[in-house]
Amino acid sequence: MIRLPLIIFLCFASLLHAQDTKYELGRGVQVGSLPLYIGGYFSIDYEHSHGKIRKLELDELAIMAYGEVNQFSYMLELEAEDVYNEVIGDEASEEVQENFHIERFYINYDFNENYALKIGKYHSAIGFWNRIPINVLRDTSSNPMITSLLFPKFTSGIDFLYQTQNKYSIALDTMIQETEDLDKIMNDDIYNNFDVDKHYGLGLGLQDGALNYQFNTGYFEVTTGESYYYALGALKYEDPKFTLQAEVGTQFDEDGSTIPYIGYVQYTHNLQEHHQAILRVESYKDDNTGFKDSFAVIGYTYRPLYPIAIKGEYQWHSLHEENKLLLSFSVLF
Amino acid sequence: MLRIGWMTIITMLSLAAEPYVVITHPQSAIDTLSKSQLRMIYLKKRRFWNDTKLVALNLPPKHMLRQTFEEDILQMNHSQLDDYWIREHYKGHRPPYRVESLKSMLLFVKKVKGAIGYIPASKVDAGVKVIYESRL
Repeated sequence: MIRLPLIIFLCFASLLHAQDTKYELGRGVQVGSLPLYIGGYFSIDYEHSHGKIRKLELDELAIMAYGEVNQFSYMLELEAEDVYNEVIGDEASEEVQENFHIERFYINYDFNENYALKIGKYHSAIGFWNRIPINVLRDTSSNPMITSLLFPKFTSGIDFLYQTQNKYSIALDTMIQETEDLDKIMNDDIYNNFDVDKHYGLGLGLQDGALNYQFNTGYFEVTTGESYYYALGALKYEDPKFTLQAEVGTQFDEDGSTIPYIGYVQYTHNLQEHHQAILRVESYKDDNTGFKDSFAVIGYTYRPLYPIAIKGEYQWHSLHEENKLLLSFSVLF
Repeated sequence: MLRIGWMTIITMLSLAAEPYVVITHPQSAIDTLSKSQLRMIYLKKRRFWNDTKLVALNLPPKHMLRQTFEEDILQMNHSQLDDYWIREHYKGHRPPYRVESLKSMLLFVKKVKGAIGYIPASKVDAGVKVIYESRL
């Protein structure tokens, strides 16, 4: 297990070697002249839910190391989730979690302009939101439900990518996992939304100017034996003033539908430089748990600098006990 | 001192007004590039040309020619570009390699097959291939 003090030591050691390099917040730092860049991020969250529970969390703390040499590139990202968690007014609830998990650890090889192969653990190339899921870079403090219920967030295996960039950009991902999660080499607990040991997925992305389309389908098995199929369609339109994004999907097993529908539509308006207003509407029906919910999220994000995000959002749920206020402060460094 | 100041301003203004060209190594398989292809290369969305790894080069951020090039080709202002590269940092991608002067840009392009840079049209010599001409 990798502990917090060791990570802090490694950060300082790297920065000492990097002292000649000019540091810019949000861009990481190169270690000497090596093909090695170090960066990271953290997020502090406050949640006040309808049931009067108020929580304060150091939710994400991560360090990244990456670089490239000729046609090879690599990424190592270690993250501790829920590092500090306290229910306000209940000191006995205080929890400290110091273990780091492998969020991403892969080597990528670019054969040429069309073909690339990635081996290791990576964010599943599914939809749009799942590719940049960290708080400081995403639009709201909360994640849409589709990213946690429909498909495995991470894949430990290979991703074979075919892409072409002519009039339209096309990207075709083939994801294959035939082993347990890579994080299990250093931790016993599960660090994925599903404890998968098999995942086969296909993704097709198309970009035509400001319009982006994404289609995914796949199959995965969890270690307890259940298996599921999923399908997802996503659309994004980007304008200098606003972004419109939607992802919808369905999941089923051999006995029939497990999640008949799940999805969201989100409108992000750039009010002025550094300020964004967000409206997201989500709906889902999960037959695995018996939950069915529709809700709206209204959010506001202020970025004094792009790698620093101060966010607030309120969620109105059809299940009233789920209503909540979320505030967060996050930084990419 | 005043004269040096005026000379600097006049040089900078003439650099900004002069058309620029995008150049590559003479043996490169690239013959011409469109604006959108250049945009993809300078945003590192396209990193290869057939089997050759591309090395996009930039002048220092405050260089007038860089600002002209970025406005013309990338159609993004400084702040939008900063935001873009911060997101790319999370994906493990770095901005184009920076050279400190036009002389370094020319030397780099002459030596490295996949290198792509931009210079004022008047600085072109026989050791580089022009693959894009601005219409400024």
